[in-house]
Amino acid sequence: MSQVLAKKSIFGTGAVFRGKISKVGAVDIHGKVYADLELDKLVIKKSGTLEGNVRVGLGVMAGRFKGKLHAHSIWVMKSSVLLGEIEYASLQMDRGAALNCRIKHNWETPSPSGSAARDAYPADMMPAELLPQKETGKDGDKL
Amino acid sequence: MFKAQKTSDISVQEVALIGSDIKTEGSIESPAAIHLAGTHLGDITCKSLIIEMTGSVTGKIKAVDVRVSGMVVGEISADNLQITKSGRIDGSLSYQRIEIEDGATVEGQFLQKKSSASAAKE
Repeated sequence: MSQVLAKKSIFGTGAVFRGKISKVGAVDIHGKVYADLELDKLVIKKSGTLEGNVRVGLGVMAGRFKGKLHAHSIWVMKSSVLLGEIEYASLQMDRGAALNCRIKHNWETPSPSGSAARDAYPADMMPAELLPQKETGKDGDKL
Repeated sequence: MFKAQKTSDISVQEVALIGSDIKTEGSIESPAAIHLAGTHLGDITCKSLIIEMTGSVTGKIKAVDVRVSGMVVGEISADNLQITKSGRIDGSLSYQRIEIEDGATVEGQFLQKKSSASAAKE
């Protein structure tokens, strides 16, 4: 099993997990998970549900979340439903997302390592802040 | 004997995967397959369970197909049970068909369940 998969968990459609998960790096949820998590990358797919307290570097939400979420960067997609409390440093939200929660912006959250955050986005949907910085030439300096 | 589900029968989205560095505690239920390479404390109920060499389970397992290449402490109830050469089991086994490879370590109680077909003949 590769290093990436060693720290990854996937809960498939129909799978239900209740309990604790530790030493996890990334989780993809297609099913239902009732657990507290601390991890680098969380993806809740459209069919997925997560209930619990979560601390994450990057969260991509397309499904349902209920609980406390503390994230550096969150992408809330149009199919997502969020309930509870959310604290974030960077937020992107698509039209249609359903939020019934308290949201707090937190600038003091340390920046993510970067690679985990970038891996979560399709290449054409990458937020500008996660793109590699382009070197500016002489023309750019003049502007 | 152990028939892994064909990729056409099961989509990637239906599989549950626990990585080798991960420790889980609680219960997992799945209508499809679970691929366990990490450590799980608690019960597992699913259609098909594969415990990798690095995987371990302490608890009750109930599935149609179970393949053990890692370690299990507890009860296994399966229709088709395969224990590979790296498998280690300490507990009770309930099965319809079993296969144990040379080198596997098994300690505990064995109980063969009657299949529904043979039970109907009696």
